[in-house]
Amino acid sequence: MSRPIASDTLLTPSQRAILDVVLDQMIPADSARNKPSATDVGVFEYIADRSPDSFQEIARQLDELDAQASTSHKMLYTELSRNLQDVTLNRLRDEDPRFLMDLALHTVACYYLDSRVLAAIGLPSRAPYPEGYTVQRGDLTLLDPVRDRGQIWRRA
Amino acid sequence: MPDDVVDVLIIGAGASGAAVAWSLAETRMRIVCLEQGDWMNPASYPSNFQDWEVHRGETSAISPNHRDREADYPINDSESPISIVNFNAVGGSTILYSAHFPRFHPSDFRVRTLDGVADDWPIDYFALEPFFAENDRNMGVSGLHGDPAIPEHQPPLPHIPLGKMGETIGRGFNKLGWHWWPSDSAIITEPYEGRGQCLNLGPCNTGCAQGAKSSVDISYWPVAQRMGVELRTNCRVNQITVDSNDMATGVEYWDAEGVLQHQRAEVVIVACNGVGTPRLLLHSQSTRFPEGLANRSGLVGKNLMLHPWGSVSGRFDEPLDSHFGPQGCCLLSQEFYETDESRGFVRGYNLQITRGSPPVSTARYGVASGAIPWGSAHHDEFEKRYDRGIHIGVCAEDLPEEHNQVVLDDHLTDSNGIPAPKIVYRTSENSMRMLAHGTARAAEALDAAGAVETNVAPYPIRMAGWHLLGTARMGSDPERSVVNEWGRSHDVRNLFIVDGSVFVTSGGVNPTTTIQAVALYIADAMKKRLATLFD
Repeated sequence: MSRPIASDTLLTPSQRAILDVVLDQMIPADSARNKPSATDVGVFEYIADRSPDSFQEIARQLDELDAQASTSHKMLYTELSRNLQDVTLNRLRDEDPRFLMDLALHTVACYYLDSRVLAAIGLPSRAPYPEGYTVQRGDLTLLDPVRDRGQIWRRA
Repeated sequence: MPDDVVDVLIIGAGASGAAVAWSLAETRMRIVCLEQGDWMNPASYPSNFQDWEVHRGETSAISPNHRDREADYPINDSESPISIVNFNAVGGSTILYSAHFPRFHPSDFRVRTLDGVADDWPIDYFALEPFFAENDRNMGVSGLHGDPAIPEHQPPLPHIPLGKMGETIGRGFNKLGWHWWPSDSAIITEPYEGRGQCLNLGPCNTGCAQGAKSSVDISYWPVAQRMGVELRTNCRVNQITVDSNDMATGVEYWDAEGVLQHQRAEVVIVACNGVGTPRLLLHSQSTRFPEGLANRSGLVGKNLMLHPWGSVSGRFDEPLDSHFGPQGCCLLSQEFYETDESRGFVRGYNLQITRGSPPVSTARYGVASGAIPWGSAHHDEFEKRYDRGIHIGVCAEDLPEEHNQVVLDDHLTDSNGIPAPKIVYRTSENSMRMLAHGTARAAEALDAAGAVETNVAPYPIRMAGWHLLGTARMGSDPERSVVNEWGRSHDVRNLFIVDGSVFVTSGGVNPTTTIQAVALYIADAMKKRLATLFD
């Protein structure tokens, strides 16, 4: 029997479903800016590739969301209205500001590497090297008052 | 031939070791340098990759304790508010430095005479001036002639571009009537000595993929090797050995295969900087030197100076293209560099204006601090911050205090079992007052430039112990110093120290160009005295 693909074991299907909701809560799409939702930029694969150990804590916290939804509303987290999802998530974040913070930091890193997001903020989707960037040399006449003041170093 | 005798053995291939190797090479002596790290491959630097902002944290961490490469040694900094950051490779910490390259001022060498604190150096600015110029040529330094805050000099290459952000903060300084100037930078702005010019990649402090930043692996070392200097990499020195006449006989080291070797030498030069050098000397104990080599003064490891650092960021309403261009090099202000006791402290500081944050860093910092929220407001708040930031670093002169020191840790060791250094350091009241003044002035400058919001980070910044100075100080009195006025140990007449540990005071600027000028000065003094070097 073949071994399961590693990434399939990092989160259960229900945790994956909660993750998709949470990612959209973190960074929803903004059509006016042509920015996608964080659900659509491959955050799960990004973390699986770079920091799979992070899923241990993330999974626990996603389960906590489900537990909170069950206790308060007798529903799964994914079944709640967006408003109740926000209330549930914010309650846990208010209790512990570090709640899902590791996921949030991975999410924004992944998000701002996505080519659609980069295009939306006016950046090319490429490495800095070898093309580099152009920076204006600057207006050196701005230094005239500094020159006019004369020497300020202390003789010793 | 590990047991033959070389003329000169240099320990460390960083900023000072490279400079001294190059200078001594013209003597045609047999020179060997031992470096515990390896050559870096510029193709591996983060700016080769689209995900460089993430990649940098994985491969270019600045703390050896986090980086934990084979060439690194751990550093116990639990008794210091400032962590030591460095890099171990051919090129040393110049691999990751920002290449901000201001010189010490003439007053920095006369602090006892001028301000009644610390000690004067046994040499002065003007003794070093030709070596500053020599180093500028060898490294490839860009700058603008005519800065009224420093004695006249002519950098060999045109200044680093200011960009829109440089002009913006320059106008702010002008409103206040304060000094500012494009900073001297060890980054080539035109093709130079076979190297390509700066492409404004951004993250100089992760290694320069273009080779425009003048780390010494690409400036000094290729030339020194062509001149005959032998550089042995992946060689970690255990101890410097001595004979019964208090003369160094060579060093014991682990070679690249992990075999313990002894290399004999007529002259030993230590170039491991302000933490590595005292660590090696303190570990080189013998019956002649039970408290560590060259330590009859008891000052090896003491008077550690770190440049306590402050950081202030400003947010502006309009895009500034602020994260393009050399990250740590734009301009500086030395308005508050010289002593004015009405400020409540002696000596002064440099304001280093650096570029803004790129997108991932902007988002990560904003989310972690709560400034950029989760939810639909994320986009608005990100947009207010991205590409609209200017940062100002406050580099405070740190005065020497004997209780600030490098000692050997009782338990922690490196992978070869050599005791790790332990940092015992307190930020002085004078430094804290200086940082309070400096961060307030930096915020004032940002306000004057039009910032809509400024943020002063808690100081001293912990992960900012780049500048490692003072732990084997220079002086004419053997009871009050470790080396003489030309870098020779008072106790061991064929042992020289050429790095930042010989500094008597720290100045208030990034020290690399002054470290290299001192190294070149010492090498020149050695060449002038070859016939009587050990007298």
